[in-house]
Amino acid sequence: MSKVAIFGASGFVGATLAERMLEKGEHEIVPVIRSPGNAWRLSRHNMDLYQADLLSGQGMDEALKGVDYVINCTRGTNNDMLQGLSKLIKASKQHKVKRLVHLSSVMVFGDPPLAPTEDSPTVKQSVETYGGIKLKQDEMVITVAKEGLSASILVPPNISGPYSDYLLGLLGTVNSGEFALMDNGVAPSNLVDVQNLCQAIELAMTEGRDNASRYFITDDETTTWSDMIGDLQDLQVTEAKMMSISRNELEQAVIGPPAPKGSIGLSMKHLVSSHIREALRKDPLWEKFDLTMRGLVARMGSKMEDTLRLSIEGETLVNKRKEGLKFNARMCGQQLREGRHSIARARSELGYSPEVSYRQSMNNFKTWYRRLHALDGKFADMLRQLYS
Amino acid sequence: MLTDSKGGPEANCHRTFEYDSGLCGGAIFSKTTALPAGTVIDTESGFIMLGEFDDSEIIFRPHNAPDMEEIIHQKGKTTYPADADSFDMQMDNFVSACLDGQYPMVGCEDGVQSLRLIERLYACTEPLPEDWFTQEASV
Repeated sequence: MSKVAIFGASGFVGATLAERMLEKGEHEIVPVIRSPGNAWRLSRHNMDLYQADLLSGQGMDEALKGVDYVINCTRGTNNDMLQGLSKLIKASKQHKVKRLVHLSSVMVFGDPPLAPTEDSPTVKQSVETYGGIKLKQDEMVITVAKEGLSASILVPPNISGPYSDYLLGLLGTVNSGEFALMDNGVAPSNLVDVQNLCQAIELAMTEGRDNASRYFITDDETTTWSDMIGDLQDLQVTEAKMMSISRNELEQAVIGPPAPKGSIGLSMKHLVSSHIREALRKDPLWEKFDLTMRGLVARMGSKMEDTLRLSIEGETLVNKRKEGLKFNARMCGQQLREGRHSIARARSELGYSPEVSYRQSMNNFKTWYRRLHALDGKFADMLRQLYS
Repeated sequence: MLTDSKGGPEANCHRTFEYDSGLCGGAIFSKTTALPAGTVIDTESGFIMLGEFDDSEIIFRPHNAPDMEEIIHQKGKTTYPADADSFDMQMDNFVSACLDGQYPMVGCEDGVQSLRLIERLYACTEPLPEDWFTQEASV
């Protein structure tokens, strides 16, 4: 029986994987957590939890003793994710693990993550963004794979299913009335059920390429935002109404107005703009030239002076927002990510085949949510009062 | 009591209560799901709600006017500072009681009552259904 260490075992994916492996009993599992405070989902089981600090390295050797496979499901601050992974890689090499399976994200392909295949180019992003950090992590795993550590990178989109932080966040937005559905919800929603992702993790331990190749893991279904939000509305406890928004309005709110196209005229305008002139005036010769020019313009009269200023600086623009449209731009903006990701490589090389459909996944989430909130029980009406 | 314990300490539990007077109620605890802490009472005239914070308001929602609610909140300052840590205050109260010979806010008798209740709850536990990972789950 092989031994599998799950780092980040108290998180959504880590805990689901640990419970799934525990139930199957095919592997000896080592659930590694940073602190027991968030490990309630695992501690209710009769299993040993291993506490390790990826940054200091404390507890790592004990957790990795005799381990065959390491699964990285950790999340945290930028430092946790980058320094922590670096330490985990080093420790995995020291302990000669058979393979490191790393969880990445489609966001390494930018936002929106338009990448039909895993070989599509990634998009360089600031390490302050989630996509930027995940890309940096991928690069670290790819580098260590070149040095000989067997590694696999799984690339999921948003993850659904019971305990899904993503769906809970969306439901919160729906409940607060801050969700605006774009173009009647026709945009595709790109999801993977947590059980499907866990299946892929199990397969990636032994199957597929070992050179840190990426594998997209999705439900491989065409579902829309209308489907997903409609399902979440079944759990809505408030009277909040759903707003509608057009793609154009959402783009304006999330991305901002499109950047102007470059032209010689525009560049000349920039050159004579007040900010540039102010900087140039620090040079005595330019200051003299600027004063002379301003004197000439002033002699043309104030009307002409205004006309020239307007043509250079343009009118002061005030962004007008549609009255009453107060929505959560971060959550709603995800409707603009229209990319779908082919799982052909995962199917052929890992043997991955989604075992939970979108419909089953949402039903499972709804059952879980209703059960833990006692929304089907005797006091459901009273609880709804408290939840709303 | 329904619990999700699988040999370790439970993360979720539900319990209903029934009293001889006919009064009934329920309690839900969760360490994995964010539930709003508070109490709801269903009375003849409406729902009364109280959040579990020192500065929580009492909200009344009449049955005959579901779109209305009355809110009662404490006038002036709350009893305790807004940033007070309830666990620190419990310890302070306990230490003060020991030092001054005063009866603490929650005394031994109250503690014994709580322990008896907890023992009775654990004496009759049943598994909380967890059928959400079955593919047949439906709502």
